[in-house]
Amino acid sequence: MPFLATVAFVAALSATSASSAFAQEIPFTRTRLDNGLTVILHEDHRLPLVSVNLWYYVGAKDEPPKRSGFAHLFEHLMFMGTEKVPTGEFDTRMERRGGSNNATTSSDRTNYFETGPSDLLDLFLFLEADRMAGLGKAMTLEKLDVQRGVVRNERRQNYENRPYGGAQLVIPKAMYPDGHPYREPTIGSHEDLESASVEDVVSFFDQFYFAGNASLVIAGDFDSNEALKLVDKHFGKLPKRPALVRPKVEPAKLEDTVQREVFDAVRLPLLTLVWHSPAFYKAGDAEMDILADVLGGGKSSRLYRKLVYEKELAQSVDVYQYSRLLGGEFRIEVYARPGASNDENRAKLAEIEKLVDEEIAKLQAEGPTKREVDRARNKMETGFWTNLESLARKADLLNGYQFYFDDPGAVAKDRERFEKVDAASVKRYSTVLDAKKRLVLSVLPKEKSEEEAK
Amino acid sequence: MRRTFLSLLVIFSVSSVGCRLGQRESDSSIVPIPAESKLSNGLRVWFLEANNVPLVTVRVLVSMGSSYDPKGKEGLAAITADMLDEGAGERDALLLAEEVDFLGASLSLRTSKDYTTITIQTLRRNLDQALEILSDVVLRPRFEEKEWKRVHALTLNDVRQRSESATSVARLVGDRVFFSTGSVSYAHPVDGFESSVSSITLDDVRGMWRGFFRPSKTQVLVTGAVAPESLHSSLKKHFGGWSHKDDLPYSAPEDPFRMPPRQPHTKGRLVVVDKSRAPQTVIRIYHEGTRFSSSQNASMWVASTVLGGTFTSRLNSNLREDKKITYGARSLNSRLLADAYHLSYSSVQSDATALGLREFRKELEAMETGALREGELEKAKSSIRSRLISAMERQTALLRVYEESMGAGWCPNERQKFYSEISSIEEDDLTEVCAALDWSKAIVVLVGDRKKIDEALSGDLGLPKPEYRDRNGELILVEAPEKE
Repeated sequence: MPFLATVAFVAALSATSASSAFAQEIPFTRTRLDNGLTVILHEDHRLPLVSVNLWYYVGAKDEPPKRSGFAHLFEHLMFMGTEKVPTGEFDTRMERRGGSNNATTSSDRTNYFETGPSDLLDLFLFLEADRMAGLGKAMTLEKLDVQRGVVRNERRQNYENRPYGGAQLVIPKAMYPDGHPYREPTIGSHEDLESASVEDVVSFFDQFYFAGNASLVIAGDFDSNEALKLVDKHFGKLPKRPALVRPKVEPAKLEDTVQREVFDAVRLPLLTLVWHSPAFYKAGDAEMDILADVLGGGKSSRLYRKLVYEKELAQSVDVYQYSRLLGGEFRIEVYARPGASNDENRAKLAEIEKLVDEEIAKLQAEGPTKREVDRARNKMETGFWTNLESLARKADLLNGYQFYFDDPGAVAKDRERFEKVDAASVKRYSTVLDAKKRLVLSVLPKEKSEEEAK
Repeated sequence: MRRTFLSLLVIFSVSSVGCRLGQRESDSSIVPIPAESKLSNGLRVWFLEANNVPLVTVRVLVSMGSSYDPKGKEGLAAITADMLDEGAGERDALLLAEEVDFLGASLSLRTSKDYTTITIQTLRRNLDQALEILSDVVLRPRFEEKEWKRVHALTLNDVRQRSESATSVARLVGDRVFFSTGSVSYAHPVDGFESSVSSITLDDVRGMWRGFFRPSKTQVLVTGAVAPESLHSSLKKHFGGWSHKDDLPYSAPEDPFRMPPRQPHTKGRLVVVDKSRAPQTVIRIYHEGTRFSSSQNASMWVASTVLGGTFTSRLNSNLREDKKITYGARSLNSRLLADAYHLSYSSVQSDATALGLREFRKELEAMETGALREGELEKAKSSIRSRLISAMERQTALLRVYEESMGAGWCPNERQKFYSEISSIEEDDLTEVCAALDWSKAIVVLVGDRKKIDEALSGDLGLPKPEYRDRNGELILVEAPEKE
């Protein structure tokens, strides 16, 4: 099989003019099929590759009660075959020709993506359209049981048998009230995964997996006119359905400090502080990103300097704004140097907490320096460009902009948000970090006594 | 996420600068060849221009791998690398970090068994300033006592924490057992043991740095949006003054290339490490692999891709999609300079440990003795080539492709040859390499709940009597349970 045109490839890597201005946005075209499917095309002929990226506007937040982990389990089931493409064929057909695929589920959305040699575009589109049309009809208990087993092992591997993994499962329940869409971790509980039935799968599919609740991005080495014809061939006949009515969700709030303490097979105690914060791309989200960098972005950050470098209390510090559609979480994680006992560890975490509070109070009173804001922005600029290096990443970005802004061209708006941030606006939003309204989660090493008590 | 991404072990090696193999024109030009240049002090530079994003990535390769750690000082190469950015030139540790960040750059230091890389990625407008800092880090680290105390303590904590990660423990113990008889020091973990790291002093670090950081033992690999002339003048400015005269007397460790090869394992071994109440058992199965320099390396790579290199490979299809006892099962061939293993691995739910081992055995035996199934060869080759093309998308991934051959002391165009060999592999080429995947010679490492593992081992799995080891790989004397 002629995998790629050698000459074209080498030329493509080296022949671009060094002096040309870099594109400030990702060029695209957008169309909408009659059935409501949004189609976004981005040509990039640098390499003989194509990437297909399909977002369904459904995530863990849309799970029915007692079905935690279901959106993600469903994502696994999407690979289990249809009448036309029997189990196993989805992967085999594309791997044979050098294609690969994966999918991820978050609270807000589920994305499916394929990348491979450009001549696989037709196959990728056929496979995606085929499962959008016929996954539900072909579902069986056997298929469900296979992926249930795999997902439960994913949970064991990534959360239960991984140091500090268990703590991640504690956060959602501590932060959100009963009935809130973010109340359950995406991976779900063993009990709920075990309870899922074929009927659940079929009804979830019918409810959320249709053309009008999805957007498709094609990025890479293809011709837009040809690609649109292929999209129409594969997706055009899928039915039009009424738009989903989404329930209105009140923003989650903490009225008080919530304390949690968990034990894990770890050597270093971990202090995690979590606040509710602005939603993805909403007012304040960019400021929280910058604030996270000022507090914990690398060795030059305030908390690293104070806790790791000066006081030598901590092993490492991570701070990040975890933004989602219905609201964000601002998280500070400090891994402490270990003490001789858990009493000592508790005392250390308390001291760390006090020092973190002092640093936050200082920021709230004085704001960051201009240099700190510029520094964070420079790092983000690099991050922005590294995102644009890969087709798969660009395709996902376009879909993200479509989902959050209803505008695939929002890359300019996205960058503008950060250009507008200044020390004063960061200072203003630093009040989000209210010392009396947050989760304080401690992970302590399991000692013999705790282990036996279990 | 539906599946784990295959994390390829990127463990390559350096022993001396210069191309070991003759440069030859390849019939396949999948891999573009970087342009070579040399500074007047002998520092060799490879450059590949890429203008799709306004970034430049510069990677300095130094032949300081953990295989050069002196006995009793295991972890020295890694901690030496860690100390490089803890103050260098005119800047102390915090100022250095702050300036790197302010440039929007990222600086990373990584040590493998065979070599160390120091990489800076920066916005192209800041390249000259980034190179200035990089040259300080490589040429003028301060190695101050104050920073050393902190870095030493942090490293020890990381080494302690490592023992709680079942996969890290399995890797550590497996490597120790597999390489125990080799003359090249591959047996110990790159970051060392608690006792060995404790005994390392700042003077050891200074000595290690003096031994390895010299222009004659260093190569620079660059890709990104910069004109060659401009790159060259910046490099000359910041690295040109690095002189051979700085090469202080040092008794160089022996080149692993010249050491006698390890005797291959002739019998299997079974090693068990207890991790009480673990919900999964980590399984790592070692066989003799092919060295990076071996003429059979391409064949082994293809064979391993068939066995466990892709989602639909045999191991993953069986253990995950059919038996549903794991999130993923994979295999790979190591890419070490002076030795090699083939590895098959997974984490299976504890109560399915026996089933997991039986299925691994079945698949390994099928590779060893059976024929390829329809489409498998084509699938493996296509996947390898596609991954290569995808690596070309990102600067850091691209450099990694070349790093392999640079690390082994070869020219980057060695990669062309390798990928061209892959494309011409046929089924018969796999037969010989697959003979190595003999279950009776497997070194099997299990990390998990010992009670569950002992239960699993009570059946006939064709494995020898277990040896019990602790999380550092030391033998524990315990009675193995009687087989039923």
